[in-house]
Amino acid sequence: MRDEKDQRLYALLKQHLSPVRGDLDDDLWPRMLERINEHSIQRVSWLDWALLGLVMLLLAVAPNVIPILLYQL
Amino acid sequence: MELQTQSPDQCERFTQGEIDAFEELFRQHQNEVYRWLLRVVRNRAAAEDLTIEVFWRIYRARARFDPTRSFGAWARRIASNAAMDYLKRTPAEVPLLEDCGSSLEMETAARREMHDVIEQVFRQLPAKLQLTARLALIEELPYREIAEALGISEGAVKLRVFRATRILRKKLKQAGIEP
Repeated sequence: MRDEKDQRLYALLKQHLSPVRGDLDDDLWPRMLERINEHSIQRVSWLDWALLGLVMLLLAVAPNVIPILLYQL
Repeated sequence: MELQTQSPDQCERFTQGEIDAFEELFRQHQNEVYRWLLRVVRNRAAAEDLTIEVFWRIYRARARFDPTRSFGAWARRIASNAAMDYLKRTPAEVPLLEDCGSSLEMETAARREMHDVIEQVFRQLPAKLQLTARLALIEELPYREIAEALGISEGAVKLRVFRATRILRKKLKQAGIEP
């Protein structure tokens, strides 16, 4: 009895919520690459800021290093 | 979802971060992932966005992937989790009916209203139950396949379907629909 009720319910669901089918129209790789590159750019900028911070800290702690750095540059 | 095979070497290169290897796997599996997601979210634009999100998660987790295992099965697991996240954050919306005059249009409108009610009741299910019930009752996938995709046992799939059926019957009855 319960199975029969369930089957009627399932039939109703399938009647009104038919399966959706379809294939991709376009290749999504360009969008994927864009997402990867966006993340890479964000990572580099944080790294840059961190490196800059370290250099500033070094110069503040040991200012006598400045002439040596300038010579190297 | 049909699972394409990939070479162990390809997967090995992917886990080591080679973007070319990732591109190869992406191109091989993007349509499978998309079709899987479309079955659940039933919206092409959302399925495309989620496909990108799935492969982004795959890309970030590349070092943890075991190259001896099936990439397709792993991708499908991640896709199922992404679909569940989508269902959790997307409210159930039902389009408004238009006013109509003739009896033929009313019959169509009545049918459309029932469709909308059923769709809304379905989408009010908790995300886990909705996802499982969608795959089992609408897509009619084997329970074993659903269990593998969701990372749960077949028994757990059956339980979720049972719970979903109970809730659906109750809510449909409250809406005046008795199958």
